[in-house]
Amino acid sequence: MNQSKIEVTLVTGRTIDQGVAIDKGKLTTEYYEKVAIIELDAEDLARLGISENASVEVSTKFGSVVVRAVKSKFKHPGVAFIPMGPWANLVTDPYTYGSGMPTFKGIRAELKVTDKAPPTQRELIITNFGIEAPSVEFEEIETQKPSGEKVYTSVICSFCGCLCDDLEVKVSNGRIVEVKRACPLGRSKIAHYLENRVLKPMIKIDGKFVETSLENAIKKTAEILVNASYPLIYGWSSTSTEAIRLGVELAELLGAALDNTSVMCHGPTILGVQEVGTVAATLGQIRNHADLMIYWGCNPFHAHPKHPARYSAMAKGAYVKTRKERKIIVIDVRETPTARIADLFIKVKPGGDYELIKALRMAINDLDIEVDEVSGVPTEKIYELSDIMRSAKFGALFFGLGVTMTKGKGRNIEEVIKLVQELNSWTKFVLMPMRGHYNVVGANMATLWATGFPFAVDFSRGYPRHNPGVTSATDLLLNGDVDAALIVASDPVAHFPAQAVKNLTKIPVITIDPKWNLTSLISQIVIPAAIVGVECEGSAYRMDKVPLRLKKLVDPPPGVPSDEEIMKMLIREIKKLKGVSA
Amino acid sequence: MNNQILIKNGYVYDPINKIDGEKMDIAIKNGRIVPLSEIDESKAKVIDASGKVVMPGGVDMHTHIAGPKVNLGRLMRPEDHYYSIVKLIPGVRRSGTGITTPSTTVVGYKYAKMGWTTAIDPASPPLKNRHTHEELDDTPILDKAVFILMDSNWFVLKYLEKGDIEKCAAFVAWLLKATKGYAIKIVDPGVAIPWIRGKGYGLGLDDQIPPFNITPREIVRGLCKVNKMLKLPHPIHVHCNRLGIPGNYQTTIETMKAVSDLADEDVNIHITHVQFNSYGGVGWANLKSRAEEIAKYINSVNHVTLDMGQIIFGEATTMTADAPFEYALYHTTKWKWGGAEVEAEAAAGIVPFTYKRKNYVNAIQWCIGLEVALLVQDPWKVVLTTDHPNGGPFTSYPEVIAWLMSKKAREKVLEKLNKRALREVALPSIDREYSLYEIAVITRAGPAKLLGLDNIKGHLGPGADADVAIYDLNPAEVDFSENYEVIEKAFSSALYTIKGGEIVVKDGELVKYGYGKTYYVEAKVEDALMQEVLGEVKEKFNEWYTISFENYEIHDHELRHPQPIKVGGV
Amino acid sequence: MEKIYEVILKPKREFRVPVELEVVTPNNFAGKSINEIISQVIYEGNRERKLGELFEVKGEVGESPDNIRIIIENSCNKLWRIGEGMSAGEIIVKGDVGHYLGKHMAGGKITVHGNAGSWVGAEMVDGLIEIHGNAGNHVGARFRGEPQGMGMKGGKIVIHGNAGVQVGLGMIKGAIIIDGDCLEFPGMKMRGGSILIRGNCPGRAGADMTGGKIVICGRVDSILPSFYIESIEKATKVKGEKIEGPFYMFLGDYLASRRAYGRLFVSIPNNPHLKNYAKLLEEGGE
Repeated sequence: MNQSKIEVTLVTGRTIDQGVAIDKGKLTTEYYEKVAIIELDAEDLARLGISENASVEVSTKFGSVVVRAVKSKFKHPGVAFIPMGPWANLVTDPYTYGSGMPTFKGIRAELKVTDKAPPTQRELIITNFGIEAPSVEFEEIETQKPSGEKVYTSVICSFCGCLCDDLEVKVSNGRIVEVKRACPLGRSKIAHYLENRVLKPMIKIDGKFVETSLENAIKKTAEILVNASYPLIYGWSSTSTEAIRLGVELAELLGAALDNTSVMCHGPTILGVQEVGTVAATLGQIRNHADLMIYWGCNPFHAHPKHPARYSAMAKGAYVKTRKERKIIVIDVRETPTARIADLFIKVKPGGDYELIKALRMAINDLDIEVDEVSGVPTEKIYELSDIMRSAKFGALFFGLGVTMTKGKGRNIEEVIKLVQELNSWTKFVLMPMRGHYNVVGANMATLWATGFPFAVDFSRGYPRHNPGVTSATDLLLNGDVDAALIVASDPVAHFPAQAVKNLTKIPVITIDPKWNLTSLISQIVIPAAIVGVECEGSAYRMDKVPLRLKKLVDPPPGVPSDEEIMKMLIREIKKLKGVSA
Repeated sequence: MNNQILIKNGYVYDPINKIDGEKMDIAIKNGRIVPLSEIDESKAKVIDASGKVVMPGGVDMHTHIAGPKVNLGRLMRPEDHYYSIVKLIPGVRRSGTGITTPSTTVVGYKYAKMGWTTAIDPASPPLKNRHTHEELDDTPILDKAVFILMDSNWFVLKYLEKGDIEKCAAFVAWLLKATKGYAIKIVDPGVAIPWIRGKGYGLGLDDQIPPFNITPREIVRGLCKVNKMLKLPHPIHVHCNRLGIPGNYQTTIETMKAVSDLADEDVNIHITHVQFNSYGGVGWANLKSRAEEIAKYINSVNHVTLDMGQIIFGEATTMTADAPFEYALYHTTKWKWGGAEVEAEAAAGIVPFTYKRKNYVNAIQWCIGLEVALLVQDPWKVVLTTDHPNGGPFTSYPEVIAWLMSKKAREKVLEKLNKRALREVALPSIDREYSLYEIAVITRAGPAKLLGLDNIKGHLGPGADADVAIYDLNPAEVDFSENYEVIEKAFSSALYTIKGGEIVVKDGELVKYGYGKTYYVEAKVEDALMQEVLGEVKEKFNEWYTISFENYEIHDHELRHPQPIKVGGV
Repeated sequence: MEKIYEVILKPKREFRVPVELEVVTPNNFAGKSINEIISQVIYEGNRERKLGELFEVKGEVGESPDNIRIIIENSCNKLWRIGEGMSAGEIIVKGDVGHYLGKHMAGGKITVHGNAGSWVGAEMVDGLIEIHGNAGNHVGARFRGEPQGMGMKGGKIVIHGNAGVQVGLGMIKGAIIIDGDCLEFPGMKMRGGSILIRGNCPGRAGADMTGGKIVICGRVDSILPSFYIESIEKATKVKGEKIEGPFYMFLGDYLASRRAYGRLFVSIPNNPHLKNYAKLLEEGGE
């Protein structure tokens, strides 16, 4: 029976297609086609009386957006999925509830059939943020030098927190021509490295981008930042640790707010660690020894595609050599591709992870659970799960944004950590946060060692202060507390909730990025950068905090500096403006 | 720029050159100490050090200031950073936070403030050592180095269980070069192996460590032989088995004895934070000090050195590669626990802890550290540390110096301690007081010598790096035993700290910013042997590790100022 | 009656970025002349300013903070840290106020005729804070990572409107009264004191609590599995005020301590979906 309106629980997050499309270019049609969509269970499509590709208007308490319906390959009636991006963010909950992390998952939404088409990227910016997004031309980039062919081995991929270092890249006449052994996300990043590139520094004059010199761009950027009373320096997870370390120095010099994308990914994990500690291990330790692996609220087949084969379920370890020797459990709100490989799949009610972990901890500590089910999971199953966990020889719990982004945020992770800590009374157990961007860990590490805090750092009083929910970029933007922004290696216009983006569009913004993205469209100044791990060297930290040295395979496009070089120039210029000796 | 400095008329304490409070001038040029004749007084910056003490810059050879577990400590303890503020002085000093888990910016500043100029992080897992180097390179002022954890390294254990010392030596040489490390670190030898199964607490020197066919004693002996074979500048640096467990002193003595036959005239084992390994008694309730027994052994031999691991009352953050011990400690504090493990290499734990005067155990621990330092006769065998931040923050060193130099200072603390504890310890009856010369030994000359850096560090003779500290202490006029507060005040805030010939601290405040050198060791190994060993390593590497062999090595250009120390080798 | 000295602060313009006003306390103003007060250093973002640059300051100041009343007119949510650490006297805020109002307060009284940001009365020791509008998150809470001893140790916070998450985090003693609704985790990690929520709460009340009392008069979506139903209570009291039930009374959080002394009172009439707990009581059992 058709209903013109249905209610669902909305979840947003990474998909492979979205990840691949990012590197083809955020301004491309492919990105539009892969991201302005909503994945619906066949039942829900039927309830709405539509078939695939029809338009659906999604409304939540926070806004509405039109997207294209896509039929899900998996069963999850009542739960709908929109890939992370600017469309999703028109309807996500921008409030962080004192955690710095907006609520990207588990939002009540109403779906209605509509005949409007989903807005394009530019239309979305113009309509929702009321500003003009200038069109951008892309040129073919010529490469010829050095001539000849070279094959690089043990190349380290710079897409996700896996930092797989078994890639092979062939370079011919100074151009990458072949990528081997990368997953679709990594391959897209490396193979499309020349697409949608920012080639020259740009400055916005009368609503249009005009080329300028690097010196002028640096000078104007420094002026904007020094004149601001509370600038925000944000991003950092997709660049080298060297650049990040300089970024900390820059923010300190400016008396700025400094934050990185962990605020939107595993910031909540950090909040848990701050209260109780953690139980960590490198991926190899897990691969070599774990006979029980739990994937909770994460979907590696979409977000960390090589993870199962390289590090977890299917990987060959020194002592546990095959999938058969392991028990795999998947806990999620919906059946995902990862759930398909599980020995046991446990479906948890959206937003109910906290209670489920509490109940599991009750079972593990041999305390009775008074009720019959918790968060949609029968108590009997909870006892069963606790026994499986206690009787493992070496257990590993991988968890992702399904637990960090949903109601409870940092307190969810605190429970995950306490669960694993308590399991250590019975057997060996460790946990692993599935970190997203390839160097978000580096951003945390470097900010932490130089300031004492890993993200959401405020320097306005001349020393580091930290209080996610107040000093976090998401909250600062949501409340309109900052008056200028420098965005490095990130795209908040695409990934922050719309209400925060609105305030970003009201202040002067400078973007430093290899590629044109949505944030660069709304910026006053755009500075190109080399791609770390492709066009320049740099250090990056894997999800388990193992630091690797990314290689340089080709030269960057002519005149394009590295983030590290840009930071050095900016610091010099700012010191000059402030009369500080170098 | 003026690169000449003349420090005039100070009371100089330079034990390596046997100078004991002589009034003399020290000349600096181009970053080095030079003979007086080589500088032009009219062109030099003259510092009048009359009535002041002049010493080489301090050398801390065991302080957890950088690397994966240190950073995890910072992460776990935001409360250590909320109120302990260091403000930005643009162009002069970076801002920072933290007392037991200070930010790197604060580490460099606070060490320099006390007149220290070299610091060593003593325990880093090879796979993550790049992290340790990046942190050290964000630590201003100091020269630094890293010791590399090796006792639970699968390659080391594979070679040692076969008794293949030569191949193990080649591997160790390669490991030090690949990680840009300085020395062999051993922590509760072998314990990371049983920890894979959650076991290992109380591992004894002669226990088996399946699946390897080896005991901790054999690991210590094997690595001791390797160390000697490679002619490494620093002896094996050992955190003994059974750390923290009542009765462990016997294991400590056995560990020292275990390598006594392998020594010639040299020091071949350094026992670190010996305080934590000098316990008698059977349980916590009747913990006893066995400092006397430990000191007795060390006094009777020449092959052992130690550092104190002195505890300081107040907050600490324990962090060691002794994972089972930390897990056990967590059960007594019931608050926060950070566990970490590195594939095929090591495991660590971090547990915040507070030492209390009225607590029987903590009171005894406080006494033990000082007892060992006071009962070991030869100060060249003793190094001052608090095993920062396990015993307490390094900023407490001035207090420790005061306790060593003044019985009265010790008594002031003793009167506030748990009374039952006082009946069990020898400290109240120890009269010895360290002289300034001896303090210079245990904070500068001695550690520099132990690190094999005593040509350029820890002394003020020509050729040394111009790392100098000038303190507001007048040995001619002040009785330090009586007026110990003067000692504390002086060492807390150096009048001048000079690093590499530049004045970096004046009147206890940073006046210049900069980054020091990172020392690492390159031990020569015969090519054919190295190739054979690397071949064997590459074979196993992909099976054990999750990165490719090619990406394991850290390159010179990744460090700000790498400084290789080349040694003989095999 | 002793004379009350009033000082009135009025913003001279709109504020774009946060203004940190930890100098605005009766303790700090006491014994200063108006000129000295105008010269007090405050921060607007990263800019050092004088109080008088941003605010019109009128009135007179006495010697003792007890007799000082500071009134802030036309206040807004960019004004942070007002009343921080004060131990005497009164502050009246007309309008909204930003974060950290009354942080570390040790006495005196703050009234806000508007909404407040987050961290109202954080780590409070004593005193009275009254917010007529809504408050943000972490009312009366301790900061992250701090040991248990840092929670609210005394005093009273009254929020007439709604409050956010983690009301009374780590509370040791004192009282927090929310007339409206609150979000999740009220009384988290509490070990003493009382929290009264007259309105609704989505759940996770008393998470990790080891003592103290939480009373919720409205609807609670669910109770944590680490709490056990103990009894039905006709009424209870909070800070001398009798609160009519009937209530389900739960003990918890058993995961924080096996000797769970935390008591959670949840309204029976407003929570028909929780009737299984009544059944559990009937059935008895462990």
